[in-house]
Amino acid sequence: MTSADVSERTQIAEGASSVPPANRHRAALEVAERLGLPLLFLALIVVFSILRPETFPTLANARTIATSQAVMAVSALALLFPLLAGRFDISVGANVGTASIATAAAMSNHHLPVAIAAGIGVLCGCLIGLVNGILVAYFGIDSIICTIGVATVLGGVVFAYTDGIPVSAGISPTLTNLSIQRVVGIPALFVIMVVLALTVWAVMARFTFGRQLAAIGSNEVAARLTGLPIRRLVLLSFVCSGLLSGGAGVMLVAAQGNGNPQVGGIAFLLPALAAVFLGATTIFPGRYNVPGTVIAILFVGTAVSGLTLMGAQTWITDVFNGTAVIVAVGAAAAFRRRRTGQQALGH
Amino acid sequence: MADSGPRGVTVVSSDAALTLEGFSKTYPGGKALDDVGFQIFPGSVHALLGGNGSGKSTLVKSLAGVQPADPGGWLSAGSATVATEHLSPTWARRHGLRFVHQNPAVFPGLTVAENIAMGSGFPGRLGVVARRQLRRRTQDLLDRFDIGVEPNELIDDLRPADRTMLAIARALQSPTHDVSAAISVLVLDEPTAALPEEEVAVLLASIRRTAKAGVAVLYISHRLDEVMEISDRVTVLRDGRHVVTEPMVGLAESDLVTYIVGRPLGQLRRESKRRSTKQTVVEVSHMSGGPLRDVSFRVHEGEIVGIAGLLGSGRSEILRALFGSYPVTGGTVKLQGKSVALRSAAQAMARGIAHVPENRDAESSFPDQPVQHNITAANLSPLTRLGWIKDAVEQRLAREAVKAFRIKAPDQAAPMSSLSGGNQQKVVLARWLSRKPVLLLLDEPTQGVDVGARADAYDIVRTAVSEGLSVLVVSSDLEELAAISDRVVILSGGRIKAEVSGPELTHHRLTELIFSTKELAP
Repeated sequence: MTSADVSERTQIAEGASSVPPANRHRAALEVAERLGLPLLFLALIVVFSILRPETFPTLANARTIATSQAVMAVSALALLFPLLAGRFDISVGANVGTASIATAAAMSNHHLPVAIAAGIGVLCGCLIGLVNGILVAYFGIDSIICTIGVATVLGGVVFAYTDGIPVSAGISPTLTNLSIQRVVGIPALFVIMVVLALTVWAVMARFTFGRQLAAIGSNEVAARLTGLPIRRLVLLSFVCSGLLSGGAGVMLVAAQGNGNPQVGGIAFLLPALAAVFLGATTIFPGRYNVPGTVIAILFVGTAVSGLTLMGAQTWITDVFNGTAVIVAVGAAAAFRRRRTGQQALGH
Repeated sequence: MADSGPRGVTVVSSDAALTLEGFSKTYPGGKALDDVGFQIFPGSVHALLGGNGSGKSTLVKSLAGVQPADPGGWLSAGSATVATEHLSPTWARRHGLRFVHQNPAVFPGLTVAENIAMGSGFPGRLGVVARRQLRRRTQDLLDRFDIGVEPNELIDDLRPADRTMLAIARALQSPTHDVSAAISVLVLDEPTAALPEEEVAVLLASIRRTAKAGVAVLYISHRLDEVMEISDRVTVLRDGRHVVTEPMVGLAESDLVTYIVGRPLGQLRRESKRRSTKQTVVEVSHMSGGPLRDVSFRVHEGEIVGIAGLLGSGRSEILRALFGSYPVTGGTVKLQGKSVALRSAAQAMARGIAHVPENRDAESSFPDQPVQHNITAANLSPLTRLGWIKDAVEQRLAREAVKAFRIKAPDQAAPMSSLSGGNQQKVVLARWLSRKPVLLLLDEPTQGVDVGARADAYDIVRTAVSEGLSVLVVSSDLEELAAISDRVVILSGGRIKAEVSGPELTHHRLTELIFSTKELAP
């Protein structure tokens, strides 16, 4: 080691020790912020494991949570694309439900092979996303209002088609077996979800498309003045949302073994919505991100599962999900303000 | 003249609506106002003139009590007198002073009557609005000010002059809903700055009527033609000092310019265009649209051309039109000899045009995105393959830009908003210069940028210019514009009325040309 190296090291060491306490405090806070949700998740597992040592910390329970939350996680991924561009897609829940009915009905009523039925489900999701995208991007309708409207229409259409009765006859066992199959011990549906999540992560963080959506969400005027085709990109974000919703719909049939017209809609969407916002408070605080979203979904799923095993009433789920959405949105907004130095609304 | 002279008020007249004496304001950097005093009389329009930094705004803020002046002076309104340091918004309001600012706060989406009531309270009980009473009260006010709109009209449907007039009427209504003795002074701060030309006359007529009704109007404006048309008397400030207070009658525009600039007006003539042997990069012919009227000019290779003009003269619109983000109705643009259609930012960018807009927060910064993404935002294709962004390449390009542009950032992954204004502006410059444009459009590039970053920014631009870049720059800082430009065109009312270059390109000369509204002989 040369003397220059030594002196540089000394300088660095001095630099490190002379960091003012306020900065060190802030750095600690940042780490806590990044890892807050994962730590909370671990704490939750420990607490439930102590309280219900017989039923909670079992492989079977872990697999049940992983399977049941896979569909929810893909729905949450669907929300991410429009959100990145500053838009909401409230119709994701209804879209998932509609796609699941379309998939089930293709097999049950039209006796189509499973691959084509799944294709119809995904295509159905894409078309609904396209309609949303046209209405929001080209007709300039507020995305929340527009997608609530679309969600309501879809609910009506699904009811008209099914009379509210689940479509369960003639569902291909190839599809329904996905809910019990495992890949190296991991539930197949969970594996599918992870593959989709990795894809979405790549598109959002590593492809120009994700970068462009983030630019629109950050400052739409500036995005236009850097030459981005705003309308086309917003439209595409809704199509991506529809594509993933369609996929989630097919997975829903696999998980439940039927097409259930009762599933889908805004109550179905809440955990996904909570997860997206909770996810934006962790890993990359202040930004909607895929790993955060997946961790948040598992957190919400685990909490609900634990509470159920504790013998809580079913209404606890609704109360928990609703509260989680509000807390998550509030926390995400607060983190975002702190990062960008913007003020909250005045009096 | 009893009350004129270099020290302003020499004879204090007792029938004045407002008397100012000894107004000073000291900032850490120096004196913004230095012992200013004059009188304003009821029933007249009194103009307050001065260039940038002359102290007009400081005086208005002191009068309003928003930013009290230094102790030592006093203000009297009618029979009440107050020491300058005790002047508060409450005092000003109680003694009949009313202020209407440049962009009056009206509430879009509400009706005329509702807008009026925002100032005075809604009539009615227990929160239930007495609609008929509100309507009648509003109609009274509209009649009194002769504003030709209906109480139930939406504010959005009003022409701009009526909107401003409505804000004035709202300011003038007294708590008892009676415009009379209570209101003595109305201060209008650049009320026409945001109005199109044809609306100005409508507003001026209304202001005159208001003055006729007995109100003393203090009228602040940059536009000499307007001031000469409307005012009875005029006060000029320069460098925080009172220059003169005189009746408007008998004053020529050249006299006013002399007072504002501080030296006699030179002979105005259109400068002969310096013939450049270099290639013409952009040629604009007869461009019209919005405020722009028949604008023609050229920019040569490696040249910096400045655009000077008052707010509303169409300065920014020229740049935005060249960037395809402002619709033009006529004229042609030739870029490197070829006629081009510029209908979108993407088209302009494809032709090699880059644009740094005026308002960084609203138009160019992605505040929550990392600095490095802000740098590469307009230029992703070189570091992208089939849509995949090569992270290592992006990191390296950003690191190089941070170094080359001397951007002070804690970390290039830090959000843009964690940077100072000057460094954010350097990021935006880096974004656009990395595209190697042929023409760079700069709109107020150093607004809100500290001195050090300002010098850096111009160094960066000059380096690019020496490599053949052409620049079109708009700035209100005339000193800066004179220093950096090879040529400056003066824009007034959407027309180019002069062009300055060579030794004549000084900020005094630019100030003269901007303030003079005369049509110039060729």
